[in-house]
Amino acid sequence: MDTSRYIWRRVDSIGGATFFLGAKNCVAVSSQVGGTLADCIYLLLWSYNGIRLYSIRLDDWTISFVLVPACTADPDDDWAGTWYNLFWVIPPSYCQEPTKSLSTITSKINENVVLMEDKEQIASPWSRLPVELIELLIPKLSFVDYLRTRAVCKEWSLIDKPI
Amino acid sequence: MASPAMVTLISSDDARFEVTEAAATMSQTIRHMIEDGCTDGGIPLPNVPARTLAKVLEYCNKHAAATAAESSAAGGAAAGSDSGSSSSADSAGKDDGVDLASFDKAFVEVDTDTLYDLLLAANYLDVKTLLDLCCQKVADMIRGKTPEQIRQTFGIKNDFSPEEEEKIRKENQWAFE
Repeated sequence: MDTSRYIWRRVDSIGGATFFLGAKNCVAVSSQVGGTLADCIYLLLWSYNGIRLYSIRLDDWTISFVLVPACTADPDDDWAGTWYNLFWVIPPSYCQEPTKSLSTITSKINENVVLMEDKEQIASPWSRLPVELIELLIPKLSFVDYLRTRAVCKEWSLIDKPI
Repeated sequence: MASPAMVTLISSDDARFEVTEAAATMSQTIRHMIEDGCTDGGIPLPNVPARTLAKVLEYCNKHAAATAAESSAAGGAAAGSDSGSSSSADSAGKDDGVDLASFDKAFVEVDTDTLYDLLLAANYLDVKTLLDLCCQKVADMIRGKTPEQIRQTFGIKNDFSPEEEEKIRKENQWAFE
């Protein structure tokens, strides 16, 4: 989710984070800080026999669930009405992290989108050769080769030949 | 002769390389780290993966050994009183030069991906002669090629619109004929 524009985007990875999904809130925690399982989504879901805690591991695509013990549903109770109140409580020490990891994830998402759109760019890093290296390269080229090099791609067309 | 001082280098993917200090300090970046005493438990190089670091170190080992051989030959010549030993040291130095030049030439006969990685690593590690060698190789690969041939060589996408490309060609038409 790109929070700046609120559009859903497809991603290839959640960048080693752990997601906690409830009905009311969603928290992303860096697995390094929380000591939680990386690339894993925990989902609380109300079902007919109680509340299930689903673990979805993105690394091997396994999904498992356990019943949350203390919450076995009494059909007469109004669990059904309250399921959407399920939420995660994360210790305050991790609470600063979600914002940080969310922004990291957002930027990762953007990177993935860019990478997916432009596969040919991944194949060739040469068009993004750092400027300081291009500056070392140019003096080794003849003037004709330099002019032709500038006609290769947009990035390289910005090269100026030092006199 | 005392055994040479060794340092441990750690690649971005946590591979450890044990090399002589003489080879490692061909990298100005590593030289500064050693001078600053940041060598305990190995020197981390977070920008260089093992595959590239191994290649860079192959270069550094070869050149450091050649420099050592040259200086010991020069030392021997200085110690010798007759001109005969001096001339033999000279020819030994020359052989090393020829040997190194052919080593360098073969060293950069690699695919463009590897060359790119070497270029970036040489820049980050600040190994001047290797950086120069890689830049020269890239320049050699560009020489005499048309823009399209250069794109093919390095796998670069032509991101100009036809109009933009035409404009660039027109600016220096003579260079493209």
